[in-house]
Amino acid sequence: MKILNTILILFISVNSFSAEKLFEKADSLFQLNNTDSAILLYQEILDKDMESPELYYNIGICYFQKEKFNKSKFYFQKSLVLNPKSEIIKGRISQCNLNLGKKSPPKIFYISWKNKLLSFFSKNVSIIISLTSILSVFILLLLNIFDIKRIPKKYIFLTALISLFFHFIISSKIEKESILSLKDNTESIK
Amino acid sequence: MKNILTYIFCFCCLFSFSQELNTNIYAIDGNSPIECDNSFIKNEKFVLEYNWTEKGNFVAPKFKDLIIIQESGIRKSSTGSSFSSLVIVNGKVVENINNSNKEIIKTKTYVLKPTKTGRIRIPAAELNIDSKNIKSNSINVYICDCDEWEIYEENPYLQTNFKSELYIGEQTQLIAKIKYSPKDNRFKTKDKSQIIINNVYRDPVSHKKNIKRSISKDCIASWTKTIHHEILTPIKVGTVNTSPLEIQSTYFDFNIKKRKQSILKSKEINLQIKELPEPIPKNFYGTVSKKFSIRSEIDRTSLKTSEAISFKVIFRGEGNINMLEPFELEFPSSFEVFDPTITDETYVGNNNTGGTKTFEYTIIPRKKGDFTIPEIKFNYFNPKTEKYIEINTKEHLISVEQGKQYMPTDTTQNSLLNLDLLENSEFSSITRRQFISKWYSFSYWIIFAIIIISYLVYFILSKRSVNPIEIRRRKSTKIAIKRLKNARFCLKNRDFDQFFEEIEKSLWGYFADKFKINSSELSKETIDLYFDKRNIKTETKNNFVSLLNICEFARYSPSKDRNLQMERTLEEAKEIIIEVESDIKKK
Repeated sequence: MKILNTILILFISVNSFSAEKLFEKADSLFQLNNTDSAILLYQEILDKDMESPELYYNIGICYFQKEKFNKSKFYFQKSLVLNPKSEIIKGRISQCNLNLGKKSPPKIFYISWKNKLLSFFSKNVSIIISLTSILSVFILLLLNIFDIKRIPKKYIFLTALISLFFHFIISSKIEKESILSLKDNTESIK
Repeated sequence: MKNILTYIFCFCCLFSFSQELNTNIYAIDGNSPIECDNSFIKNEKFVLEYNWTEKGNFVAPKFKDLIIIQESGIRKSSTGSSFSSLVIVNGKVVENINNSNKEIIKTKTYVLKPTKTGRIRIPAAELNIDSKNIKSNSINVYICDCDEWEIYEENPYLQTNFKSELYIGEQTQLIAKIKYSPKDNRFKTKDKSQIIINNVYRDPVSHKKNIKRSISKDCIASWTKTIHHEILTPIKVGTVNTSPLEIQSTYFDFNIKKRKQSILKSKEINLQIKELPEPIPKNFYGTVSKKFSIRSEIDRTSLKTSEAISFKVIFRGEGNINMLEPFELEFPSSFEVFDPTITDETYVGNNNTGGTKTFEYTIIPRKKGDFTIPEIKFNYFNPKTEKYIEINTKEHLISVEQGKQYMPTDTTQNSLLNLDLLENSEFSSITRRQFISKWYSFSYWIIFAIIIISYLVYFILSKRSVNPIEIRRRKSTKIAIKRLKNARFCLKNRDFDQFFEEIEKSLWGYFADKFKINSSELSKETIDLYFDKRNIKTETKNNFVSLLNICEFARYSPSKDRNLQMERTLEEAKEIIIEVESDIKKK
């Protein structure tokens, strides 16, 4: 078992090391305006099951330079999913929209609130909050039903509300991700 | 009004002598040198003169087929610029600057004599200045195979020289000369017609000393007067037809032996401009030249971010170099590159334009790292060999360290202008992210479903006990049975005394626990008080008190049917506890 673990750790570290190398190499190729080769190297990292917001951003930049704004926007969106706080990614998406002749629709207040909240917590933290609160609701209800401890109903209601709130926010994000993945698949089929 | 009046008088006389080694050849007429077209007869002495302004060691060329008759030392003559300025404030001279900046011209002269006929090449002389060498042009002289010349004794004529078939961008000189007899001392020209040449870029060549002695191959000496000299650079493909050049002249007509005034006419000037041969290479920017070079210079290779580098691309050669414009160069994308400053040091020579053209780029690296400015490939077309020639600069390695942080006023907007890549932070697994996303929803809905189901089950179960009085009664019975457990035990054992004592104890105990009263305070009055306080029915209260009395009396006045009495009392005690419980819960 110990040997297996060591092999696994070694494999992962070698994999990430080579991914770092590929990333640096792709950067250098981009500096020399060899954008196509840079994209191929970035894709190679993705094929290795590695991702980072910067990786998606850089692919987006490559396509931006090639003036393929649809693809560029797609990768910037992917990058934004992983790093929702980044202003520069949002700026790039707006630039793509401008080049594609699309106007950003006015955002309804709750969407901007939702985005702000999403950028406040990372996705994983939001997932933990959501799952913890729904579990709390469950436990509180059980305590109440079996007459073990009387919990005021307002607390149960509040926890349930928080749980639902986080759930809907995160599920919208996950949905967005899955749409992007689907788009990715269709693009690769093309 | 206290105005400060500042007058700066500037007088500047500058004879700009090109920083080169100039060569002149003169024929000797008696004792004085005269301009010539580098053609001489056998054994004719001529003067070769070198001029320069730089400090340095002059290295004479190796003369072949020529004898040095006389060699002068280096002569210095001043012909230069002086500068003076006055600064006058409120009418008073506050500063008087006199700066004499005269240029010293150095001259080295040789009197040479040819030892053979035909073409003799005089190689380039050199001027060694520190590590730099300046070379003069090599000169060809033509020595005619004759001991004496004959004087040209015919009417003057106008001749034009130019290359009629040219590639686009290829330069040619258009020169118009009048050949006339040296015997005609009063030869005059005036009113030269203008030449209009379309689709050609024209650079005029000065021809001040325009009268030269010329000796033809058949040893006939004449004067040639240059009346027109320019360099033509075609810029459009096609045929260029121009009307002949005309000039009015007064000359001695050797046919009628009389002075005459007439118009001299040249031949038509027709140019055929050809397209450059295909395929045109990628890095060709229109330069047509027989001799061309490119090099790049960088002022530093190690610096910090946001510091500037001066990167120069220097082109040197002859041909249409003056028409060369900056073209796109490859720089690392994190470099901010400003438009180049163009330094044009080209000149118009006798045969073509030439010189140096420099594009100086100011570059500011914005990111740290090791970068390479790649080699610049440049193609020019050589019309002589009719081939494209590729030349290139060397590449430059630049090491950039992190300097002061570049802080644009609006971070987002400015950073959006440059397509800069981001440095990677940390890689994460795509599969892991997808796994979390997939299982999060699933587990959430499972828990949600369990909650709903539990609530439903609870709801259904609670719906089953419809009568609340019955529930209350059931609960109260449980409490009563618990309290009367010991009494029931005594009933089973037929322990009469103990039984009533236990009933009494149970009732008092129940009362004390229920109403939270200390055992010291227990009395029938407190029963009355607390039962009233909790609004328990009077009937219940009376029953409770009478049962206590029964228990008290029963111990001292035994009945005949003890068992029946005990069973009845137990039942009554149970009922009274249930009643009290029910009454309390009702409230």
